[in-house]
Amino acid sequence: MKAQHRTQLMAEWLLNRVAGGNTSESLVGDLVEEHHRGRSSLWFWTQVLAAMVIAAGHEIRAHRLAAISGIVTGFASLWCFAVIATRLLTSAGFPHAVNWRWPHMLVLFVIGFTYTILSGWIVGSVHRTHRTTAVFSFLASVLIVPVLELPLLYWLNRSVFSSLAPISLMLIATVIGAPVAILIGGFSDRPRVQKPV
Amino acid sequence: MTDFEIMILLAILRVGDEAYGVPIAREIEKTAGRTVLLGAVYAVLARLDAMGLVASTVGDPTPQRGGRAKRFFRVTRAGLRAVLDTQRALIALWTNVPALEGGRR
Repeated sequence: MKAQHRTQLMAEWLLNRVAGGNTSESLVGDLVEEHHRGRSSLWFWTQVLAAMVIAAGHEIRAHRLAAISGIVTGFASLWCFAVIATRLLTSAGFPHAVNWRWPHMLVLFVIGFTYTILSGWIVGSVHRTHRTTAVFSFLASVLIVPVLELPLLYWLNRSVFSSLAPISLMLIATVIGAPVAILIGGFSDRPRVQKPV
Repeated sequence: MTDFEIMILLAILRVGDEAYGVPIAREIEKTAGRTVLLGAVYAVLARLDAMGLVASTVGDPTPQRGGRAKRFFRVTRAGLRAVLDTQRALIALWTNVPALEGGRR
């Protein structure tokens, strides 16, 4: 029962930040009602994720300038953090990329996750009025990157693909780690306030 | 107006006083035979609300909904006019189309 309550609160927290207070309360109430009537947890979370994507899609279409600004701000901060992290790691004697082993990759993953949270936070803070638009545009563009990056990497250096581990880690970091980090950072402070209807 | 917006307005009219997210989605699934995402229903309802075609009131919180209130929707006069205008336009477009009459001229 407690776990179910936590699930509902988490769904409401997520939807509150993307779709706004009034819609999220009614929508989560409807989803909980259907869940009680026998719908599965998979159905519940599919509906929550779909509602988030739909709400974000509407916001992005309505505020294109904020979407572009979110992407630019996000990538600029990611790039700055990446440069700083690379310099710090190099000065600390961290080995060159070709010599990375699992502990090195884990350290890099943690550092990357942290600065992606910070980038999401910057995007969210800079675009307070159109936070959903900016954060989700940045998130979508980050997901598109590996689609462009992998063929380029294959063309530049095929030897990277000889071992599956680095590529798998890169994909997991980009497809799961980066979106989670951007959502945590982007929506970490107060949700958007809506006037009661 | 999109076909989904028209469907939502018609579903609200068909459901009547108990029109909130779940019955609206059920009505569309039952009559139109298509799966409906509740998030999509609420996104369209928010748009129709902004256009003044629907209005909403909040009911009492219930334990079945984890203490959350239902939001009931009704079609406004402007919404009813929009539905009738669309119906008239579609009927006018439907008539005298040979392809829809088995190719007869």
